[in-house]
Amino acid sequence: MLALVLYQHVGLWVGALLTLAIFSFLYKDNPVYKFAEHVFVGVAAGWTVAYTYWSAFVPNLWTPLDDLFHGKTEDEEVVWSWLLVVPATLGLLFFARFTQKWAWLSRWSIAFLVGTYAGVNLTGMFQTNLILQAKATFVNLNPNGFPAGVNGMEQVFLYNLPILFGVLACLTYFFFSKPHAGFIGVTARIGILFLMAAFGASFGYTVMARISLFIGRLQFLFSEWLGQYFESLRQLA
Amino acid sequence: MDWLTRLDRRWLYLAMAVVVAVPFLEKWTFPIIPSAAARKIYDTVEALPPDSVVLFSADYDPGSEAELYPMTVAIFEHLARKNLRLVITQLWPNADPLVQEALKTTLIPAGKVYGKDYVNLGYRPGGSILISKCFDDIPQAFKTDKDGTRIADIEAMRGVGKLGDVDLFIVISAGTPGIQEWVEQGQARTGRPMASGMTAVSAPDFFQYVNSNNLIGILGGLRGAADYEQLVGRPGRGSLGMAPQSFGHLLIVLFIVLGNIGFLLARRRSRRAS
Repeated sequence: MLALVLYQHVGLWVGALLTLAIFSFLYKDNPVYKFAEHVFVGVAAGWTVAYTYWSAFVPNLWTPLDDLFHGKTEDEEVVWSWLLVVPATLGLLFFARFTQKWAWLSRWSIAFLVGTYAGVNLTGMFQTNLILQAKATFVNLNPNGFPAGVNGMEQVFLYNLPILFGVLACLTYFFFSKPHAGFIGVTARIGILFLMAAFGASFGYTVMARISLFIGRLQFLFSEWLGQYFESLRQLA
Repeated sequence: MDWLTRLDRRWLYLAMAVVVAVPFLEKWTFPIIPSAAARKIYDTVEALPPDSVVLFSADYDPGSEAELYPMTVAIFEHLARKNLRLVITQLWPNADPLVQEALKTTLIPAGKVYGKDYVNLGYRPGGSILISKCFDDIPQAFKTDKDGTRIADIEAMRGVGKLGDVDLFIVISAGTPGIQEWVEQGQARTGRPMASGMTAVSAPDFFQYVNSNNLIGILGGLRGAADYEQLVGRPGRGSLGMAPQSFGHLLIVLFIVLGNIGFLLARRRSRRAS
């Protein structure tokens, strides 16, 4: 129990000091910041390697092959485990990059990986990012064509028309086969406004995200780290 | 006003630290009105009958803890209250400690039993290929839960053989692999409803999926977490963060206005000089 409490306290202090070390970069670059940065990268990489080993390599490759070679089970699925030698070999070929002579072998693994990902994702991407997105622009422009309880005018003029014109205007901006003059020029100009609004929204969300991360660290410093000592002092008082 | 264009950025950092820390230390709160997107997720979970299967994919790591952990806690709380069966997966290797921590404060105190009411299948690599495999056969894709128990022996997985057997997908993601892969390989192929939460940085990229009805709603960043906390009635880190967040935003707006005034004045002066 005592060991657990000590472990938690040490963990909090290490986390707090490393947080402050990272924040010190805001003043200027310094060795304390560099130390914390290297610790972060090292620990994250170490954790990822260890966790991936135990949760992916061992159950997906090592255990089935071990069961097969030691005859631990006659399960039909395990009998076919010898096929795992193929992905294992492809995985090992990645390490060929460490030698100049055999580096070309890793291309087989990369080719297999890229091909598989492209094959699996192609139809999904086409369906969700092209077909369904295009379909989503086929909006209802009839204010009387909405179910009861929905304000048709609001739906059409605040949502559906901006979506339709926004998409058309943005596509016109990226249409380079005609000079951007006259009607096409005006439409492209409106497209730029829509794009700027989208970039502005992205920027706003990015600011929100960065402040959220800062708030998260403050919550850790003031609530979890210093908070426990304030609480102890309050109880003593 | 010349000082505006030459102001040391460290003064801005200091101002931001003060403006964010004071509301946090003073525990100021603002009224939070949940967004329509968050309410839609809440209503969908509410409408699920007990024992429905919810697949929750925690696809983030401690780098996004500040934004995504509070929404994980709020969602787990809601699922526990509704007596839904929870199947947890992870496409990112570093999500598990955060998932365990969230379970400790929600499902476990609610008396939910591991293996019966919820199961953690843990991390598996592969991203979209793993999801594609789950579309046909989840036990084949995961084989065991995170503790090594065979999926066939887990009560919480009864009747859950493929993604089509899931009643609702909830994906909390900080990037790739994450929401996009689940939409492409999971939601679009099964037609099952999907809700998602993401970091605020990536939120604008996913509103399109709400328009195309791939997603029933989205929780964007800390604000999304605060929305869901309000709906569930368990204000937590998300709600506490809204006052500091708002003051931080006001300061940024002020900086932008001042920066532009300084820029315009400098430009006018240089034009006059030339």
